[in-house]
Order: sequence, then structure tokens, then C-alpha cells
Amino acid sequence: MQDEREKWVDEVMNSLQGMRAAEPPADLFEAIQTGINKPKAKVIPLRQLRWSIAIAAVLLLLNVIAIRSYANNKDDGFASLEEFGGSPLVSDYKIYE
Amino acid sequence: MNKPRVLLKAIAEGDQVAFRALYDLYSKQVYNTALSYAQRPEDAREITQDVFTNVFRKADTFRSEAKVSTWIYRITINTSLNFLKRKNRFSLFSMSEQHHDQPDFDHPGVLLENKEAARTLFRTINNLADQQKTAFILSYVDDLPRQEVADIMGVSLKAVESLLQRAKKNLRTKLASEYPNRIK
Repeated sequence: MQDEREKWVDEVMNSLQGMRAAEPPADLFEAIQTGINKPKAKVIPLRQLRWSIAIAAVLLLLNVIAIRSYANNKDDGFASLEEFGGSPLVSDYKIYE
Repeated sequence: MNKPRVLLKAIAEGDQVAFRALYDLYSKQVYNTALSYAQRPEDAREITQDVFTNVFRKADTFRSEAKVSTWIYRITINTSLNFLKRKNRFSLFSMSEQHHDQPDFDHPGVLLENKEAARTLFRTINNLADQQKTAFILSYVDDLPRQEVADIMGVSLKAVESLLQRAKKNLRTKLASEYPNRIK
């Protein structure tokens, strides 16, 4: 059994003797050439992308702060006037009664 | 004058006629090495395509002190190993059992009387570690001289001999364990 096993292993290990090389597909060069002549997609460097995202995030945040601040000031403006009994700045233009 | 170097220099300037000439010189070698790694003609085709695309795009990076064939072999080996890693990673995440069911590889150039044994050998080669696999493929499948294998792998001749010794030992051990289940 041992000898037969070793014999079989030898047979497998030597099975590539006399092997010929395979031929590559006939149309392979054409496919390579097509791939090479295709315009390369623009690659944005990762660093540049990160900076762009960071700047966009900062601008967005600033805009949000500005809008919130405007909205809060607008409400406070009307409320404070009324609180102090102030009248609207413009009524019927009758300044003197 | 060294023809491959002259061709590579022309390719670095975008010469596609020179590229075709270089392809004619090395395509068989590249394809067969890729075939030994991938063990599927369609995968070997894809690897060969990637190799020559890289050769074209990186022709200007070739260091003239090296041999062109050595450089191309290195690109082929790296591309083949990366291909296998991607394929194995994909099959790990996919739900299908496809990677277990890949049929045994039938190399078109193997002698008829050796087909069955060669199928077994290629299946077993697949399980070798990358360095041992590379040393074995270059030495025994591509039939390269040991020194050339050492130059390609960037290691000493002694290291190649050691890798080959380990590769053959591992192959024999694996085959011996398969003996009871062999197809008679």
C-alpha cells in the first residue's frame, strides 16, 4: 500500500512533464488595445476630496448659524417692541394730531 | 542592441506598434503563468489584459539595469496574486457556494496520459502559500532556471531552493493524504 501510494504521488508530481504552453486567445491584443485607448476616468486625489468636504461642511454650518441667528433676531425684534408697548414705526403718516 | 529594451523605450513614448511587438514576444509567457495561478482560461485572460495594460502605462518606470522579462514576470505574478486575493475575498462575502465547486483545472497543454494526475497536481498547488506557489510555478511549470526564478522573486538562489523544497514536501504530504480518495 505504502509503495503504491508513493508511486501514485510520484506520478502526480511528474504529470507536467512534456506539457506544452497554452496559446493566449487570438483576440486578446485587440481587447488590451481597446482598454488602453479608452480615456481614463478623472481621479480626484483623496486629500483634495477631504478638504473639499471639510470646507463644504464649514460653509454649511456657518449658513445654518446665520439663518438661525436671523430667525431668532427677527422674532425678538417684534416681540421686544410690543413688550415695551411700542407701536409700529409706520401707521397712517399722521405724525401730528 | 537589446530588442525588448528598445521596444519598451518606444512604448514609453506611446508607440503602439512597439507595444504589439512586445506583446508578441511575451504574451504566451504571461498567459501561461497567469493560467497556472488562476487555473481558469477566462481569469488568465483577464490577468494577461491587466498585465499588458500595466506594461503600457508604466513603461516609463522600467529600470534599465533589470531584464525586461524579469520586470514583466514580476508584474504578472503580482497581478495574478492580487487577482486571487480579490476573488477569494469576494467568494468569502458572497452567499453562493461557487468557490467550493470550481471544477478541477484541465491544462490544455498536458499530455493526454497525464491529464488526470495533472488535474490533481494543479488542485494541490492551489493550496500552497504564495511564495512556495510562485517558486514552484516558475521552476516546474514555466521551466525557468533557478537563478532567473531568484531574480524574479527578488530573493537569493538559496531561498528559492528552500522554497522549492518546502513546496514539494507540502505537495507530497497533501497528495499522500488524498491517496485513499483518488480516482482510480
